[in-house]
Amino acid sequence: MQKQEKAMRKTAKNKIDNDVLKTLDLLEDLTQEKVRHGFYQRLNYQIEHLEEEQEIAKVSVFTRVIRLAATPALAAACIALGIFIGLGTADIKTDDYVDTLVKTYGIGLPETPQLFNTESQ
Amino acid sequence: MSFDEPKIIKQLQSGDKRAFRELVEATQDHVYNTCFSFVKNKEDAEDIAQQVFIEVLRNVHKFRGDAKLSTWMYRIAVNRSLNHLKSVKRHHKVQSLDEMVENKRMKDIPSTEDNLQDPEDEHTQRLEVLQKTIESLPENQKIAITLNNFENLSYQEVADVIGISLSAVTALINRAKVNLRKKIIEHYKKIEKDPQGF
Repeated sequence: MQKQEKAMRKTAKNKIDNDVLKTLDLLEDLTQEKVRHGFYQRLNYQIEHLEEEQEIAKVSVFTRVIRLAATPALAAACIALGIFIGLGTADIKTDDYVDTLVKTYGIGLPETPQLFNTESQ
Repeated sequence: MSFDEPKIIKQLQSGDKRAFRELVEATQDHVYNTCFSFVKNKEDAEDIAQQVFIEVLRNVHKFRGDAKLSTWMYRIAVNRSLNHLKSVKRHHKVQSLDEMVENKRMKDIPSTEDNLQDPEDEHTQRLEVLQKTIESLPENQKIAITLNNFENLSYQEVADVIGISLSAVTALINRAKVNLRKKIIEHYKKIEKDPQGF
């Protein structure tokens, strides 16, 4: 019985040694992997795609700069337009007010724009 | 990697597309093989290999020729592959350590019963054991042994890629081989003790 156990242990040890050796031997004989066919074409496609993306990125940066510069100018233009329209409306309102006074109270300015008679002097 | 380095560097720096194609065709298998030896996945290895070439194309104008172009390319390939592995590990961080150990037992390590069925299977499974054991080595040992054995780089070339001395590489590879042997013995002993557990 003991002999049998001893023999079994020896067999197991030999098997382990054999497995270890064979596994370590593979270290010297590792397979070289090769790329799939068409690697360059796929790479080239990716590079072109990246270049396109970079172009888009460049354009967007340019656009952003333009937008940034345009914003204060646009704001100033809006303010100016607002003032212009505002003043125009004020003029119209003043004219309306004068018309109302004339109609209601008969108050009016003389037809001639000359207020002082310079001839008699 | 065999090509006329100084000539191709000059051509690349002047934007010659044919030179780039020449470089890719001369080195694609080496770059891919290096990446594959780390990431162990064909698609990922190809993606990383492509990134390596894109990085070369983008930065070749900065290349001063202090090191060999091939050394530089191997360095990029190793760094990119290790970064990829780190990002993959981060994604799988949610998995508990116990689960990982259990999965490793269930999935990665082949059973001895199956091992002895077919010599081809036996070879594949031994290869798998070897690769898994290499993966478990400390990073520097893993890089050194991978470049030396998968890419057949000389110790000096490995030293150039990693950026350490020749004697340090020799010590690193020796340590790696001792560790590999220890781990593989442990692995087969475990299988022998508990064949059902694996």
